[in-house]
Amino acid sequence: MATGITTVAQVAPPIPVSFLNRMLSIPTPLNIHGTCANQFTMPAQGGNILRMRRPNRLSVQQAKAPLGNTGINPAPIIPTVTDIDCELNLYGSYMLVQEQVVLTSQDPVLNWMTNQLGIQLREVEDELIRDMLLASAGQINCVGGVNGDNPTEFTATDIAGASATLFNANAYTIATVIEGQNKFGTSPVRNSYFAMGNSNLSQSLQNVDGFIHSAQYPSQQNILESEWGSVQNVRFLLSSIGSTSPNDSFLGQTVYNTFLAGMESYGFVRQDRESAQFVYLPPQIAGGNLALNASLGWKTRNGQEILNDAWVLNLRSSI
Amino acid sequence: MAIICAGTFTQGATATAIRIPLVSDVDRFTVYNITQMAAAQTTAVGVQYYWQRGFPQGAQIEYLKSNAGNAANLTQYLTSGGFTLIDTTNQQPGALNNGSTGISNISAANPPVVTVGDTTGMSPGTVVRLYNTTGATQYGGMDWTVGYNTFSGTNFDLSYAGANAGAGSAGSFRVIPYNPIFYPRIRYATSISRAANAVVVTSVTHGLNVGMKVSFKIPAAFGMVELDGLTGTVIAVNNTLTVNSFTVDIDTTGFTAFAFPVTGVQPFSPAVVVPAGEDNAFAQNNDLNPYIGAYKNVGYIGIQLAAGANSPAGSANDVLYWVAEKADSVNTINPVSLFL
Repeated sequence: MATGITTVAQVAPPIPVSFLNRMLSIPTPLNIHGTCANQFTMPAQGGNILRMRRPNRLSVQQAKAPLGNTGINPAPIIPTVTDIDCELNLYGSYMLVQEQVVLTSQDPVLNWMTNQLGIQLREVEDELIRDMLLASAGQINCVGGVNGDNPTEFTATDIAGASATLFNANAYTIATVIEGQNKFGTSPVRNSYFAMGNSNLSQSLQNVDGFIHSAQYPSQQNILESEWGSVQNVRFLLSSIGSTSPNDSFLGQTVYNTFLAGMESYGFVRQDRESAQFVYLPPQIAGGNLALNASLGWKTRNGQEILNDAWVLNLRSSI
Repeated sequence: MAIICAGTFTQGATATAIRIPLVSDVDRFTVYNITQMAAAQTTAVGVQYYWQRGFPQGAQIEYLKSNAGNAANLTQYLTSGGFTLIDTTNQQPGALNNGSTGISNISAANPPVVTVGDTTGMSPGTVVRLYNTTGATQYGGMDWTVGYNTFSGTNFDLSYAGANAGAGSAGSFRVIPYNPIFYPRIRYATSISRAANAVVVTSVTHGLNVGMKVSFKIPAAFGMVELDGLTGTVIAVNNTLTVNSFTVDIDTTGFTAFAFPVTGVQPFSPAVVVPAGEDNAFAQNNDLNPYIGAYKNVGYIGIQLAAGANSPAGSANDVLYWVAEKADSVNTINPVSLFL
């Protein structure tokens, strides 16, 4: 064996690490709750509350009686309305970053911090919609399952019952039919309401009779990234930020809140000129006398509301 | 240290914990009980209270006055009965069985009285979630406002449950610290009368106001299915703590009687009162706030002051002043050694 070989034991690299100048992905939940929300904009300088009005359906009862030949007018019908108000709030978040962080780090610190803040902004918006739905949407428990809890796990009967409730209230479906095609393993998908739930429900849903995974849709167009599949007239969007209620079942287990929505069932209101604003203040502005710190953050002003309480409901289940 | 907010409050005839919303976070909080400061004391009573970020939840520094002189002449650090940071957007339920043993009895009374291991930290009006109940299964998996008729160290009543036909013998519970952050909120109905204008009671304080509209989801297990899907205007509310009802302009006289399920009827869907907007014409005709039912986020961060003679929210009828401050920076690392 040769001797006198120079190895790293004798000549070590002066800097033994390299830094990959490409940041790894930020774990980002799928924002599903804004998907079905009707988007509105409140004008700037327009106050704090956006009011909407829905004319209520007229009764057809009197109008079905023949007028006859007396020439006498029947009693007029008096229309009624429902007003829906949405109060807007200001939200925001920011980071204070000492200039030495930027000066000493090899990575583009402010770039990925900005990216993080953008993700946070959208997640906050989505969770606010979720929390509004949890607080204010009507509820139905799954009761057809066999896990012994209340609510039970998902069953086809429960999902059919929930979609029938929306159908009976004249809620329009959101998604149109995906026609069947001559493709192996696929199945046509009905016109559907959308449901937004927690990703822990993925297995529970797959066990439901008639579940069609989104990969089995005849067409892969117009499928959302969060879409897990469909059951009868409901297409399910799942996310890790889907709503849960800890210890809320009869047995003390987590209850999963899945929001079934028809068209124009709930809304998201932004304020004109402050729908979403990124705010960067360089050290010369935010850093005080010695320009020590930069500030970067976001602010947004928005509101959430249910537009028609009969067109959205919370189908509660356990697993 | 910059003052971010300051204020005053006066305790009621029965002293209760006080929650103070603070738009910004807080690093130091000071309370002055001027009622006790001004009074001549014979035994030590708290007159000034101090909290600083980093204290454990519930801790405080208390300055006491023990004589007729004006000096706060005693100081003590306490780990309980003081200040607790709160964030109502955190919806995590409290500890299993409030950190004690679970339910040992649910009485067959009107309203039913629940016997548990310990109610420390609870008070009349607390919301609890019952589950895993043996007997009286109909109360499991629901939230209840408790204690307005019966409250002790080991008992509380389910204030709005109505009559209970069969006793329960076991179960668990957790305190629900905060309401959902959005208003108006759905509630579970426990009673709906058959009347020209139906009177509705909910398991948790309803929080509704006159002029708001509500709709009903009534499953078959509750009887009155004719009400399912109907919408009405709230024309009166009774916010008496032991009552908690509202009246809606729906004639239920010909409807099937409403009956809260009895034990063993599991699983079932709850009877739900759902906010459904506002009746603006009714509100304006009755000089009511026409926007009171607006959907809004009422969540907040803040601080809770415990009540009592040695706590920052003081005793009955005390007048207190408070100051919240924010530090320019908070240094929680060890102080620099002199030898570096």
